[in-house]
Amino acid sequence: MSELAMAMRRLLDCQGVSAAMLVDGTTGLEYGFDGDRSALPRAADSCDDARRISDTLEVATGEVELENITVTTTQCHYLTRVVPRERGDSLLLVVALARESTNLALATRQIDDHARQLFA
Amino acid sequence: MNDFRSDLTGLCEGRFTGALRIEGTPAGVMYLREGLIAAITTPGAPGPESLLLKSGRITEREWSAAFAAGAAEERVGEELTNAAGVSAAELEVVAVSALYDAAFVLGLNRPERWHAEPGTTPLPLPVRPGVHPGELLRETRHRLSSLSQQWGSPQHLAAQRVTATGRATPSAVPNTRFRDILLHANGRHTPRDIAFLLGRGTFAVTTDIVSMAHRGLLDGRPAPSSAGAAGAAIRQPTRQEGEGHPAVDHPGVDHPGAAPPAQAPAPVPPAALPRRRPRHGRPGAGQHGTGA
Repeated sequence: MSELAMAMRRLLDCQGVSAAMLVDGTTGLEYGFDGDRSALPRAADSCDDARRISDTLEVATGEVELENITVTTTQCHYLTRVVPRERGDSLLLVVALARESTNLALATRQIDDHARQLFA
Repeated sequence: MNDFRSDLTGLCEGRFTGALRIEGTPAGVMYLREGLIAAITTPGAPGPESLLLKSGRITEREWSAAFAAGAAEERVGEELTNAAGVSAAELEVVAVSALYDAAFVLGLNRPERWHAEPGTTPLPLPVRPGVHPGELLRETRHRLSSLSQQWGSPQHLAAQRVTATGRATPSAVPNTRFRDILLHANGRHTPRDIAFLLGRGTFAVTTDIVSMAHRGLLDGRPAPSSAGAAGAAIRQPTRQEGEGHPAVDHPGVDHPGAAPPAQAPAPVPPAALPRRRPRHGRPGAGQHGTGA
């Protein structure tokens, strides 16, 4: 199993996580996925959504340093975390969590830790 | 292109191990292991070495040392992790992105000829276990289709000399990627040139160039239709030696907004076109394929 595949598998150990995906923030290419495919949108769509939000904020506020995006539905939380990386285009860690079994604050911290460790 | 696709699919189904050498503009080599693609090399897109070096992740010395120590046994990645501190995950991202980027560049033009050579070639940073050709072709079609929708002809876009409009100086642009592109948008460099200069993928740079053109930071506007290209201020490159003819179409990809090139290449006399030869046996036994 590749390094990225193992990283996605470790995320599934976090409580409530039903799927995790690593996406190129510029091209939308999927680098890794684990979990339920139906729980997350396509990688390219996740990338486009993040880009639109970033563009909208930049136009409105001049701010471009996106850190994360959280979307909550009646069933799930969807976290998109920009992965810290010394060089190279941004990567997005996209995670789906079951809302009823997730403490969002705790899950966000765990996913932040995973994101920081990914390229450490 | 359908012949190439079917040949590649055949190599996958036959669990071919070897090199698929592609002649065209640009040329390239696909390295397959048990039918999956482990790497693609082409002068049209930065490979993993170029991406690592030009982006500043590693030095020339670190690469040379890792290559000398590990190339023969395909341990360059491990050597880079141990000596240069580049994580295995980072190397995997670089290798995978380079592979798909090379496929995108090769997909810009119809391959002229290709042939398969069995055998194992040591690769510096292979993708393990490799990418399924079907997935590679799907992603490549998606990229070409995306550019077609946002801009028009991807071939036309790839040939552009990128020029800043002067609306904003690089230092005034908050987006780091855009700023870096603006620094090289002097009317001399194509998207590929800028990709090599920055140590980024050709498709990634091209995507950003489209975004920047939409924002008025770069010259050139996407043509909404072939009849609506008035107002596009796109600098046309002079034709360089060795440039081939762009593909007429991409199977499976619509070009509703494709603008015809301003400078059509001179037609090649029919006698000079590659001739298709009937195939004998399965691909992978040194067969030659020719683009029709």
